Amino acid sequence: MDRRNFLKIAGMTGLAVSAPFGVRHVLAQPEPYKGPYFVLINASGGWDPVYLCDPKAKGPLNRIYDGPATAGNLKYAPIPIDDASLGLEPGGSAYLMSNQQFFEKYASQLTVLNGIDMSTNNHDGGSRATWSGRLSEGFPSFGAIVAATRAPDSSLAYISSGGYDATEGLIPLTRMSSIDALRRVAYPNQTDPGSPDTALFHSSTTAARIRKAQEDRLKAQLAQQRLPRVKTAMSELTLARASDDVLKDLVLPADLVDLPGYQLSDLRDMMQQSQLAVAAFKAGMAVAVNLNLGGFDTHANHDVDQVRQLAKLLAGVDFLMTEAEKAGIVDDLVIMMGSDFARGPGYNADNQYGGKDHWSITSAMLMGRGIGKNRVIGATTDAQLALAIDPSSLALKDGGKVLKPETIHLALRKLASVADGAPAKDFPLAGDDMPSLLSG
Amino acid sequence: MTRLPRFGRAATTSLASLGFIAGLALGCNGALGGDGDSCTSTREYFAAEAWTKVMGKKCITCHGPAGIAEEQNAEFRLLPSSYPGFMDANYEAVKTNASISYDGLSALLAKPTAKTMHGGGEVIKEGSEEYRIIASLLEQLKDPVECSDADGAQLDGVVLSTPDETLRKAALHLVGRLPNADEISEVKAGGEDALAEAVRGMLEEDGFYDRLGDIFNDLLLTDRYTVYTGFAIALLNQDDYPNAGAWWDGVADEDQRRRINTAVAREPVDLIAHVVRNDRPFTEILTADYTVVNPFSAPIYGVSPEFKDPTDYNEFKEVKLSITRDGQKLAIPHAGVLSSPMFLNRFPTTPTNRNRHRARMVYKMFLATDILRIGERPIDPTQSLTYQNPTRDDTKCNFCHKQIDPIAGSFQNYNDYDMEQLDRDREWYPEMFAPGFNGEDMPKSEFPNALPWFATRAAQDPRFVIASVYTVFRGLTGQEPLAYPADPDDPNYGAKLAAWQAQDGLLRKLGEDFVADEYNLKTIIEQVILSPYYRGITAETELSETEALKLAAVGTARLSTPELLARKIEAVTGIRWIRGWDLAEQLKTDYKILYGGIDSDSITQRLTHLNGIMASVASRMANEVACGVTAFDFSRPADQRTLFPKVTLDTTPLGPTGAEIPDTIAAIKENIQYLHARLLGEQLDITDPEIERTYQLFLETWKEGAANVTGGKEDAWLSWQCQARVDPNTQQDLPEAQKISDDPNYTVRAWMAVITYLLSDYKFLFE
Repeated sequence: MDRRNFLKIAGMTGLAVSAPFGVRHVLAQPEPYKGPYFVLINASGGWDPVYLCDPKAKGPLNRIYDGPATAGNLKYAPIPIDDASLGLEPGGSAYLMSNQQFFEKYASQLTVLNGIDMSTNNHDGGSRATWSGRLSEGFPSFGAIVAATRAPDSSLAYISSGGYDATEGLIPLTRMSSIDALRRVAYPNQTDPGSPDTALFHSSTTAARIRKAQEDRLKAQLAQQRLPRVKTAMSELTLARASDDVLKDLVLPADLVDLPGYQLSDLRDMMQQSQLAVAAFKAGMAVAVNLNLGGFDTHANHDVDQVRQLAKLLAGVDFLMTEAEKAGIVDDLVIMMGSDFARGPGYNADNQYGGKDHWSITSAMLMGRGIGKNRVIGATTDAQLALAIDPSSLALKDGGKVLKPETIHLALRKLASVADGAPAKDFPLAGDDMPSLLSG
Repeated sequence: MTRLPRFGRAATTSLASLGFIAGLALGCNGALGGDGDSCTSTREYFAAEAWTKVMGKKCITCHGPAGIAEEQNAEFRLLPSSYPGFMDANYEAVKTNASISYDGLSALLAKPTAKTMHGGGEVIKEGSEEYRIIASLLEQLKDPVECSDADGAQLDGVVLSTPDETLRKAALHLVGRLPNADEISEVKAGGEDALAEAVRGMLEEDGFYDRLGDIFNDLLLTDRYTVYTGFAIALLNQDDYPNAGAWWDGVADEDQRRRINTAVAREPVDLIAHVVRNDRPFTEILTADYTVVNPFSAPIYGVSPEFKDPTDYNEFKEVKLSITRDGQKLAIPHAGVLSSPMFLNRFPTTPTNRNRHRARMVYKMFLATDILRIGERPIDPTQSLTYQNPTRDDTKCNFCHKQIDPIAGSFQNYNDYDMEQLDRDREWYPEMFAPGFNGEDMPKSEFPNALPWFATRAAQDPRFVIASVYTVFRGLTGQEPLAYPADPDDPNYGAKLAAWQAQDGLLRKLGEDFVADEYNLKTIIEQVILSPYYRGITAETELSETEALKLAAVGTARLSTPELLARKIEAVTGIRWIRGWDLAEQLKTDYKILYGGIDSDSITQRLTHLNGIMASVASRMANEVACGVTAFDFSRPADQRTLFPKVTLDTTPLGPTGAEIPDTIAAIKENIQYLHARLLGEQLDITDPEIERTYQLFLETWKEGAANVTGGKEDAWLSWQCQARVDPNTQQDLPEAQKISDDPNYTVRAWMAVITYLLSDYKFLFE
């Protein structure tokens, strides 16, 4: 059975993560991955582009700010933030980032895509479409595609802390938490990895002997096995053991960042996951990481809750960039920010507690290696309906094409040089070809 | 329908003997069975031919939900595969429609060929392949073929674990222990019947209810409120539950406070356990007009049932809660878990969401219906702008909302801002679809009792049976039930359909047995344990690609969850893998998320595939447990040892001159044989190559280490952590005479290598 058939079989029930012995061409420790590194940041629940990167004049869609502001070629929603307007404890807003701060700092690096037609306003479908490029079920996230293509022999290449992270059997998913626990598992044969005088559980030759015996036994077990589900599980174990040494290169921060109070706990979690993501990239372990921030499903109290969550999201992105810069990998990051869909097109109640419901025309923002800078592609009408663009020039054009998730993902796959790989071919997309959509 | 006795009751372990394939030749009228060696029931023919090639492709377009046929009030309705039980529903619809005729021609042919009025005109040509398939189906429906076993349960070629192997797996999984001697001897003598009895017996043990709690917390996620002490209590409205205020604040003992919070947080999960433990119809998880409290949660709710032991956390009593409003007692309208304050908080609402999220979760958890999946279709935002009330008037929206909103209305008596607070005087929203269920409007007189009204009906819905089967199947096998293969043009469609049919046949049979046994959940649990999806260990022969696809979901290859692995470690080694400073299980604290577990809050999906970090956690576990247990086990008398009953620390394979010592080598191999059985469940002959492999690991480690100790390259002392100084489970000092701190013969460390090796084995980490 070749790898393709194996994946077909196991993929049928979502079982596959790896090919069996004799199929995987490498069973030794995989080479450290050198980038680019992909960070997929999900605003879970449905964000409001009108209050971010697709601003509107004051009116039914916008009752907070006077009108769009500009940073470079980008327009944004100039919403001031302070503790009271965001419903935060005193001092809380100092940890967040306003649109103005964000766009003034990053507009020169951003490509903003406005007027994306998600064709859905249901959370699961929207999240799936944003991160896989396809609305219907059964497609892996872009993170899984890029990790499985660029580091097929690593079982640690795709790390997720939430959002749409289906792998469809291409590669295992990894979660990271607790620095102390990670240190201990990075050195499983040291009794106390935190101590310079740590003893070993087994001498190094004994540890190697155990490992050899494990490998030999697993080979023997697999050779006798015929059920695909069991073979797949055995293969998983083989592959996972082959990449566990990578953890030794994981240089973890002394402490994970902390923020005061419960109100900022979601931002704190996102920042901590960013720290671990940067460490995993730096160690050559990860190719793609999902970061997630919830709280955007603001059917009520939109003006406070949505604005606060957006300000947290931008602060989280800024923190990620800062950490990546410190680690010397910022130029190798590719970041995409997206959400299930948008909100609107207006409020569901006239009072201050009114919310915005689900709306299928949304936006995405990208920046990093290979991404065009200081650009806005696509637009929406005053009623928040999508406008079409010319696939070549990308200028607005009547009768052109409306941006769709599959179109964006086709471009994303090309940008990441994974479009011709087996994982992408096994999960083809039917979007419009827009060669310069992301790269400019 | 003719059926063989329940599968899993025969004395051998081949599927044929268990009735999985024997049924193929039985009960068939021969008309459609081809060569007579197999039986294709009419339902199977419908699924594989009529549905796949005709109705699921053409008829569904108009006769599906929200299709033109429905708009025009056509009676013939079909459901797509996103609906639970869609094949059964469609088969019934087809049977009904087949009996209607126009000029002697069944409606199934007269309509699509436009021989009579058909809104869709001619969609099938007379004489076409599609016509032939429908005609053939109609012929069969005159005298439907029924096969003797569950349709599609044709998993020939799968080798099952033996009854005693299954007994071990079930005992570890269900009750976190190894089977006892009585169970082993009874199963060895009684085979499959005795196995079923033994499994049923385990379902009476307390340990099983821990496991059941894990399974249902994966659904309800209410353990979120156990993250810190006081989380669950703080959710309760102190006007309605005054003891959640001053009384709670006055509880000083931290352990007591933790237990109270846990009991309140787990109320819905404990209610489910209570229903199962007492063999009540599982429908009571929705319909119970009571909830359960233990001595710790009772005071919070202001009730004081009589407990036999006020310190027993596991003593649960049924109570009916009431609150006081304006001096009057107001009874809580209990509706099983649905009215639980924890459920209502875990799945909250807002004034604009109007309980739709709750309705969606009820569909998902208790009616096996993913309403978002059913409603998934491209939408055009310009269209919804034309409706004043799109959720009701726009067909793109109301398709889902007419299913969601009536159930949302069932939660109308709860406050939008304080999730569990009863608010019976509120007005429900007239612009929404009226409260009700399955097309039945809730009478206004029932509004004060809306949730129990709905729960009673939901519990009788066939989808509740499917949801119950799916939940148990998922919990015990670790895999989702197979989805119906979506693409008939897929070259592997036939094999995928066969796999789906096999599993669907089993799951439908489990549902039938569940209902026949008065909705006793233990029936499903027992039968999943006995099924090939839990017991399949290999195939009799090498599989072709098609055969492999058919058997893709079969087999015992589940990665243990952190909770299951923790229990297994304790069961087989006798020690828990814990943190020394608070004795908490490592796999339930520090390593829970890293090892793929959930926190019931932001991480609610388990990882089911091993990654590199998880492999490293497993390595660390194997090293730490081997370190903690090896010297400790040797510190006890031989007859009390868990792991090393056949050797001593002086049992070395070679003498001082390097010559082999046959007796000690035999003893070492016997202990290795014993360890393979205890830790991995392998019954190996002493000459088995795996015994030799493990012996070589011991021998080489011992030889090198002993030489190093003699040569001064390695210390005779054991590292501090691996000495037998304390009881690993309590961290209490051992008596001085029992302590082991050095290892001059290097046998402790050689055995540690063996224990590490076995604890990190595939058979230990996977079920």
